[in-house]
Amino acid sequence: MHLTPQDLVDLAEGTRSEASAPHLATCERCRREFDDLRQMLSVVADTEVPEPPAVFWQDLSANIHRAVAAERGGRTGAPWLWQWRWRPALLVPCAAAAAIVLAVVIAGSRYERGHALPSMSSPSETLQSDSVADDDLPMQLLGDLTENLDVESASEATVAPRGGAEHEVTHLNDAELRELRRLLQEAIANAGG
Amino acid sequence: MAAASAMTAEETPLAELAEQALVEACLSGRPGAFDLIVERHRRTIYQLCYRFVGNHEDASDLSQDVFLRAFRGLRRFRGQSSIGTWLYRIGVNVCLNRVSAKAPRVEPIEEQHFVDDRVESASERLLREERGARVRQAITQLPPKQRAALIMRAYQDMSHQEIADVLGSSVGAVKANFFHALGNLKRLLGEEV
Repeated sequence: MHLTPQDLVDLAEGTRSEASAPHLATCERCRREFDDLRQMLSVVADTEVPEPPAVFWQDLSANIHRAVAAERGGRTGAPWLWQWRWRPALLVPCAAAAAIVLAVVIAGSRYERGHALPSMSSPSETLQSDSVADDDLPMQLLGDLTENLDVESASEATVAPRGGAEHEVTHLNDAELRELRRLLQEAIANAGG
Repeated sequence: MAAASAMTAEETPLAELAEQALVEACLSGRPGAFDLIVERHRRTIYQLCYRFVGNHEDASDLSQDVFLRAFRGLRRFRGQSSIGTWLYRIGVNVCLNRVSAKAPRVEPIEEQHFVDDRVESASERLLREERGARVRQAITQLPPKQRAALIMRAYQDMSHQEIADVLGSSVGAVKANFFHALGNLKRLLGEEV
């Protein structure tokens, strides 16, 4: 009766002594299988996984971090907007910064629409400015934001960090602008008492 | 005195938390908690995945998948095993699903990078690396359960019972898979061993 695969594995791994299997000493086939198993165990054990570059581990962790953060957030669109809920102390200076940015953008667009540069061919011609629509959200938002803005807040806004907020504010759609207005009004009301 | 010096779990540095407390910190959203779990176990998981699929790109993708699945399943971690064992089981299942669905893409030997400080000649190192690459390639050609049994036993030193638990089979079946895996490897490698 030949040794089973389970017997041979136990013998090759040393979890069972060869003395416990006298058949091994007398059967050429089982002996050969035993020797082959021992040899392959050694070959397999000597095989290592190539080590990737050190930067790979940082990238791997960063990718996993981003995936987990996305999993936690579970929102699309403007995720930065939701983070403002947790930083009310920043809302007033950011509101001031947003108001100033909006004012510049809106004033600039109004100027371009209402005033044409003198042309070489017809220096007296000017364009009629468009009337402000009643439902012009940026202007309404600007009005709301600056209603309670004092000089100190405006001054703080000039040294507020540049970059993300300004870009985001000038690229919001109508729904996002409405939500921003609501958040800022809430924060200003809470800050001003 | 003891009360004054005792810190709450929220105050204890993440690195000093016991495993179950670290998991709870992850679930409560404490920043860096899951990042720490990733950092501690990323190498083991990556190596597991690499052994299954034989190339860096797929191993990297699978590793990220493993940790994302682990994050989603954190609430089910009961502490009956270590986090490492738990992650490894997730990794095996992720890899088994992948290799069952898709044939592995094995990297050419020249694309595999090695970092090794063994004292050996360049030719010896090259021969060892080439043989290692062929062994890894042969492993990726094994049937999934034979591959899984081999990897878990040979590289993670898991007991046959632990392997059986992961694969949902018996100890006898695991040993038989292990036996046939080594036999198939010898046939695939032929005269090289």
